[in-house]
Amino acid sequence: MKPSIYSRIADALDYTGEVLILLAKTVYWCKTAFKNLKPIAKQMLEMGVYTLPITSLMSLFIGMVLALQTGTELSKYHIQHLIGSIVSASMCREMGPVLTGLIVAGRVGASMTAELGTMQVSEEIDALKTLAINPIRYLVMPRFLACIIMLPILVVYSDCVGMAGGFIVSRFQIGVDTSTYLDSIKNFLTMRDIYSGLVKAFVFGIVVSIISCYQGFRTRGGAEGVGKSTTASVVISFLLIIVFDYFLTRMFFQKS
Amino acid sequence: MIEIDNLDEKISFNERRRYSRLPIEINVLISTELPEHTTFAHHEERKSKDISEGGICFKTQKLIKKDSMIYLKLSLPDSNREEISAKGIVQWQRAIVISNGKKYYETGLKFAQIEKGARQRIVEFVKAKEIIINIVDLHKSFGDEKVLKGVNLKIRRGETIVIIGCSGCGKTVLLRHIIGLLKSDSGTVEVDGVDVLKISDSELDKIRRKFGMLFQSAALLNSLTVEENIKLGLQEHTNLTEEDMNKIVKNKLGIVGLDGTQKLKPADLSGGMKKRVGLARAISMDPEIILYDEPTTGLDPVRADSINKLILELENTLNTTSIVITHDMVSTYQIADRIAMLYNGKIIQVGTVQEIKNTDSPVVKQFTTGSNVGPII
Repeated sequence: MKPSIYSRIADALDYTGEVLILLAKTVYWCKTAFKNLKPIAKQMLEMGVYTLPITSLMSLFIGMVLALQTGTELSKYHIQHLIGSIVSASMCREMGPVLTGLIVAGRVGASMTAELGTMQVSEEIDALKTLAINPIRYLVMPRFLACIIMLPILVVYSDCVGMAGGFIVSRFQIGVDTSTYLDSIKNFLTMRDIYSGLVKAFVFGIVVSIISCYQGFRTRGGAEGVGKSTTASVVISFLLIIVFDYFLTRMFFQKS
Repeated sequence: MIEIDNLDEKISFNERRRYSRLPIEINVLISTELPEHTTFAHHEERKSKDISEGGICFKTQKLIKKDSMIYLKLSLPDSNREEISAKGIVQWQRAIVISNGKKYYETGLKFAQIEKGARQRIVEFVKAKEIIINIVDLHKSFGDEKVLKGVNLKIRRGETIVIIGCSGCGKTVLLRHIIGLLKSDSGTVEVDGVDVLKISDSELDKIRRKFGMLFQSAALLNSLTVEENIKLGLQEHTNLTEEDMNKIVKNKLGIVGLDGTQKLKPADLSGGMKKRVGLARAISMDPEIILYDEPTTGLDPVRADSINKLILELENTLNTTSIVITHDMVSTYQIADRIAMLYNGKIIQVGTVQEIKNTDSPVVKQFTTGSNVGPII
């Protein structure tokens, strides 16, 4: 029998409630962060440093595509000197945080869910509980902190690489010289562009870490369950990143 | 008052109050050497209402005069015949008790003085007979399937109790309730007088430090080495130095016969080795209670025997209370002080090995003999 619309709504509310409870408990356990620097550093390494190559590659090409698309159009109106401003604003406001968020959700979030899900089905999380070790403190808190610290850093890096990619295309394909490109960035890029991107990255960090860990914890039923949880984790994180992106953009850039 | 010579320690048993809410099943024989001229008024069997404060009082008290000795026998009618003796001064306590609007006299005994060392002996004896885990009317369902339908079980401190039952009858579910991994639909699970199903997470963590658990699958953390797995609890709950922790790890691995595997990952171990490392982790904090979920399942007979010996050794050396879940009757008869049979969501019989072997219950008989003819389908 197909579940009714009411039971679906109830399930969605249930899910939201449980995710928020996990978030609240995780924030509570952040008080023990200084005693757990080693696992946090390990997660930061896993999340940040090992994600750098794919972030670099993606940001570089996104910057190049942006420059190519806008540059070709702007050239028609002889205003190609504005490429730098468009590429930098696009990267800082949208492309940097959203794409990095999606990369982290796909690469790190999926691995988090798979790891915690496997631990759940192989009773490792129960084993932690029997040793009087709180799984949220031991497993979620380091991942949560690593995510909210590393995502903004990755976004700044991604913005820079994206702008560099834009520069390569502007300089060698569109024919905009270096100083024009840099001046355009300097003149048009505002602090709001930068910090709005950083706030987005911070929120996406929360979304990815909490959704991934929650999905891992609720995994049931062996390898098949782990697969399903991982898929759900990535899909839900992707969706929420886009939804939050809209609302955060509205918050920062809507004219009053 | 009865007096004896050579008494050098004054004692009051007020600490008994701590245990007064626990049901105590005990049969104590206290011998007191008395001067010959001593007369004693209370020589008949008496019945007191309950454990009285300030003294050890039991359901029935009987004074037996033999030669120059007065024996005080304290017992429950259905308790076993274990005895402990202590010389001392015992004092009759008489109090007026009002219960249900009726007034009557409550009589109990109090140690005024007792011989040196006897106090510790009695306290340990009493503690040993204490009910450490008391499961009352436990119900648990998963969806429409009722797994536990009113389980009642008392587990005494220091004993090894084996819970037997068919596959899928809810043995593991019961074990998980004891350590608070599952919440019941109704009923209580008291550990040292605290209902683990009704306390906060932090309180539950305190209770869990009394436990060690060996999982059926060993449940070692695959991302950690053997050494790190065993150190987990120590790192979390003690301030030991790395060196001290390494010594403990070496010692515990030595107990399970796996010293030297410290740096290996669980993936490098065989099934039996994983189980033994799981056991080393379970005993790393020297717990009061160890839960074993199918400790010998999947092991060859030799390894299974070594695990059984290990369980017995731990009971003797660490004086732990062991709760073992299994359907391996060879292991059961080897390690059990008492056996409880779970069938159809209820404990249908609890008894010693001999009692279970001589049972009249067709279900228990069929299960223990492994016959395919009988009420178990």
